[in-house]
Parts: sequence; structure tokens; C-alpha cells
Amino acid sequence: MSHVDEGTLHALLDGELAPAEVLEVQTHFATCPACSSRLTEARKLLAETERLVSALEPAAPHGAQFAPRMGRPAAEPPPPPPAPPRPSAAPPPAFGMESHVLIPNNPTVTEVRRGRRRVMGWAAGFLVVVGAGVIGLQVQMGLFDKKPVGMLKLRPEEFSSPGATDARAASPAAAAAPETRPSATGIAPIRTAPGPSRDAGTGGPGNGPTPAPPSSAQPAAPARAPAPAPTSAAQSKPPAAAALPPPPETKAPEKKPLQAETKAPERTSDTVPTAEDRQAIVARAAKATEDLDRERNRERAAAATAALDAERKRAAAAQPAAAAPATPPPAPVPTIDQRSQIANRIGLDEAARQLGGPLHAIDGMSRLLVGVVSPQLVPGTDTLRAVVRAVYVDRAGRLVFLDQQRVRAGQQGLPYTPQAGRNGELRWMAGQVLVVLQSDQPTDSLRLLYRRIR
Amino acid sequence: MTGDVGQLFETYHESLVRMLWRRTGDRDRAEDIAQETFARAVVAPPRNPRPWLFAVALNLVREDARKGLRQGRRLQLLKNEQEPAPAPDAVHERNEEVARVRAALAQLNERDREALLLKAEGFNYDEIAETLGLAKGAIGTTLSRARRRLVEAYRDMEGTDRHVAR
Repeated sequence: MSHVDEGTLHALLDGELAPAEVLEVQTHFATCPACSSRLTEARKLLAETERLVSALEPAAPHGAQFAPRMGRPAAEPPPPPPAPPRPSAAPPPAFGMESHVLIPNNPTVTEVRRGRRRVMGWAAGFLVVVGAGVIGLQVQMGLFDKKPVGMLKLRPEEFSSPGATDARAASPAAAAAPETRPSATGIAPIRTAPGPSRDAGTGGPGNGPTPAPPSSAQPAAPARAPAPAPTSAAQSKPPAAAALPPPPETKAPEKKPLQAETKAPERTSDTVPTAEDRQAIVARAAKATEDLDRERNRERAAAATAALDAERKRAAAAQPAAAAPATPPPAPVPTIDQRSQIANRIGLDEAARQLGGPLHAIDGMSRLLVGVVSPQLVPGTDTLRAVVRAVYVDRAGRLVFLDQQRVRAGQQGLPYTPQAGRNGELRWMAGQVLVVLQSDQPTDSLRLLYRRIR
Repeated sequence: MTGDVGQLFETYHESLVRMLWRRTGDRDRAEDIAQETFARAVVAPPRNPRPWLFAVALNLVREDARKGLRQGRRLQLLKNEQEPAPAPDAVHERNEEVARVRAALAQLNERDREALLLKAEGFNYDEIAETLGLAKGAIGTTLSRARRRLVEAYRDMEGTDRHVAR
């Protein structure tokens, strides 16, 4: 095609070209930067002219009744005239009304890349934030899983003065003293756990450091670990206590977290914790209780899931025998989306955004739906870009696909004239958009349909 | 018949007067010509009213200009315009721009100018062709030429004014 003349350019901008002419001109624009540039100039000229003619709009009060009409589409008379239908009053083709969006105005490659980088940057930031949150959560959960009541373990250094802590650290006997002191004075210690520790306590101060049995004193043991020397504790352990099977370190506190919670103030009774310490303890206890509840719920859910799986297996095993005589259920009728192999339905606005212009349509046929399909399904398309598919049904009930894809700058092998593909499809370029018409119909029928594309 | 013309008047009067005002620069004259146009429509009701009304109105403008029937009145109006009341700067600038655009429009030939004004009134190419008696295929070229000439003439005047102002 030779270059587009000035009159045609202005007719295009005024929406006065027929659809076929628009297609032809747009195809030319795709390959002719000179004409594209002239189109841009013509558009500026038209805008400038409208501005100038609008300036003639009277500024006098009388002019207030004249609303500016420069932007009104060409085919829209002010109010609908009561004239009989005539060829000149007929609305121009729909392409004319939308000529302002038909003009190629695609972003440059740099703009596209910049936009992609911006999106990737946001996505990376989002992933970093989410990843940090997940890792933090896992670390927190991991601590709780390993030591569920770790927060409950007493930390004398938090409740007592540094001097007292130092004294305990210096002498195991001094560290054990708070345990034994109440019984030495004849006051029974407040404990919910039975016997052994009380028995140990009644031994009196003369018995030396007597480590409490693991069942009751275990929660305090790790926190006090630095105080008693392991060797002396093992040596002074009574045979009965030594004979008891030492429970795993993590299990004992798990089973009696509330008990440990009630013990916390008791163990620190000699150090007089402050109100803040108490609040902290209460807060930790509440958190530990929540964790425990969560753990229990998790266990219950796991048990329920296991039971459900077993129930399903049982039902599945019993079903073949019962369902054997019954007729197999009819195969589900594929939906129009499945028949069209559409991944996602989209609206016309989104389609126009994908294509950089309005969606092409078949004149005289009702479009069933518009969606996005994989480019693998449409021969000859760029596999890196989505294909917009408009689905039609002809009178025989056959599906007709009008696939459209915006081409890349510099894309090779584009059909600038309608070409029949290997599968009988018809492919051609419409401006910046590659259009592929597919159907079960023969190619000749598709060529007839091609004339109705607008 | 009267009802039809009344409806025509209601539908097209505003658009017709605006086009005539742009064409002549004279509100009263535009109103007069519009009245005369509708009066003719009463006598000979048009089949295709919009192009007919605008074609008749433009013919009247040309005829009026040729005969110079209102020459004295126009001179009086121009005289009044040359001695306006002191206006704020914005109004003054606007008046200057309107004068420039009008002068640029006056440099166009009759056909280009009318095609431009009809397009500004929302006429499509078929209607412009029917109103001006041209072929539809020539309208795009006519409009492109008119637009280019108008903008060039306006820029020339803008440049001249700046030069004079310096």
C-alpha cells in the first residue's frame, strides 16, 4: 500500500472510514513510521483546530446557552432529529466512533520494560516481607514446639536481686536453701505436687543440697542449671529418687504447665517480685496457655483428620460393591469455557487494555464471551503474550474463535495480508494486533466471515 | 406544518446560530439569518432538514456579504468593538485571541471555512458534502487543508503580534 494521503488521515481521525479501510490503513501504520508520524501531526492539527474554533465561542452572556460541541462525535446530532431515515443520517460505522482508540499509540519497549521492572520490584518487596514473616513465625513456633513451656521456666535472675543470684551461683547449698527453708521452719511449702520434694525438704538443712525429683522440680532445673554442680547433685541424689525413671526434659513441663504456672510465684516468694515482674509472668503464662491450647487443637485436628481418612477409606472400600449394579453417571457436559479452552474470562476493558485498542468483533454475530487463552492454542502467536479470544457460535452451533494478540515490536513472520494456516485458520494483521479466525468451518467460510470483522 | 417547523427550530436553532455567529462574528446578524432560514423552511419544508437549513443559512451569509446590505451596521459594530470599555486583562487577551482566530478563518477560502464550521457543529462527511454540494470523497481533503491553513494562519498572526508587541 502506498502512503496514506492527508484526506484519509483526517477521515480516519474523524471516524469516517469504513472498517475495511480502517484495517488497511492500520496495517499500513504498523509498517510505515512516516505515516504514523503524519498521523500524530494530523491529530495535533485537529486538536489545535478544534481549540481555535472553540475560541470563537462567544464570551457574551448570550453565549452561555451554547454548550461547546467540539468534542461531540461526528455522527451525533445535538438532539435526535425527527427526520426520516436517510443514508446521510445513518450513524457511521462503529469504528468511526472509536477512531481515537484505533490509532496505534502503543507504549515503547522502554516504557514496557520500565513498567515490568516496577511490578517486579513490588513483587520482590512483597515476597521479602512475607518470607521474613514466615521465617519469624517458624522460629517462634519452633521454640515453642521444642520447649512448650520454656516461657514458664523460672529465671531467678529476673525475680531476685543480682546479689542473690550471684550468691546462688556461688554456692549450690545456698541455691537450694529456698527450697528447704519452709520445712525447716515448720511451715509446709505450698505445693501441688506430692511427696518427694516435701520429703526431701524435711531432711533439714543439715542434709545438704537435695535436688528435687524431676517430676516436680524439672521446670526450675534448666533455669538453675548454673547453680548446682552436676557432680554433686548426682552424688547426693537419694537412691529412691535415682531409681525413678527420669522423664524426658521436654515432656514433664508439657504435661503440667498449669502446675508450673501456679508454682512460679511460690518459688520466688523469697525474692519478692515486683508488680511488673508479676505482670510479665502472668502475660507469659497466658501466652503459654494459648500455645498449649493451640497445640491441643492441632492434635485434635490431626486425630480427626486421621479418623476421617480412615472413614473415607472404609467408605471407598464399601462403595464399589454397592455402586456396581448402578449405571455409571453420565459424563458432565463441558461448559462453553471448557469448550473454548478459556483460562479466564475478561471484560471488554481488559481486552482493550491487552490489545492496546478495542477488541475486534464479527459483525452480525453475538459474542458469547471474551477470555484469555494460552498462546499455545493459537498457531503463529507469540508464546510470551496472552491471547484474547472472543467466542461466537454460528447457526450450526459450531464455535468460532476470533483470537487476537498484540504483537511485539520487531516480531517476525506476521501476516500482513490474510493467510490460511495449516489448520485452516485465517490469520492477518490489524494494526498492532494479530488476528486469528478459527472454526470448524472451511477456510472459504472463514474468508466470508473475515469480511465481517470490524 | 407549523408543528414541524417548530420542532425544527427547537432542534437546530441553537446549532445554526452558533455556526452563523462563528461565521459572521456578529450575533444579531447570525440571529437574523437564522430567522430568515427558518422562514424559508416554512415556505418550502425540507426533506433532509439539517443539511438544508445550514446550506440555506450559508447561502444567505454569502448573499448578505455580497450585497453589503448590512455594511453600515457592521461598521458601526466594528467601531463599537474598537472602543471597548476598559476590560480586565483576561477578557482583553481573550478578545485578542478571538480576533486572531477570526482573521485566520477569514484567510481560508469559502468552502474550506464552511466545511470547518460545519464539522465543528458535528456534521459528518455525508452531511457536509450534501450541505456544500461536494463529493463525500473530497471532504477529508477539504478538511485537512482547512485545518492546516487555519493553524498556519493563526500561528503567523500570533508571531506577528508578538513581533509588534516587542
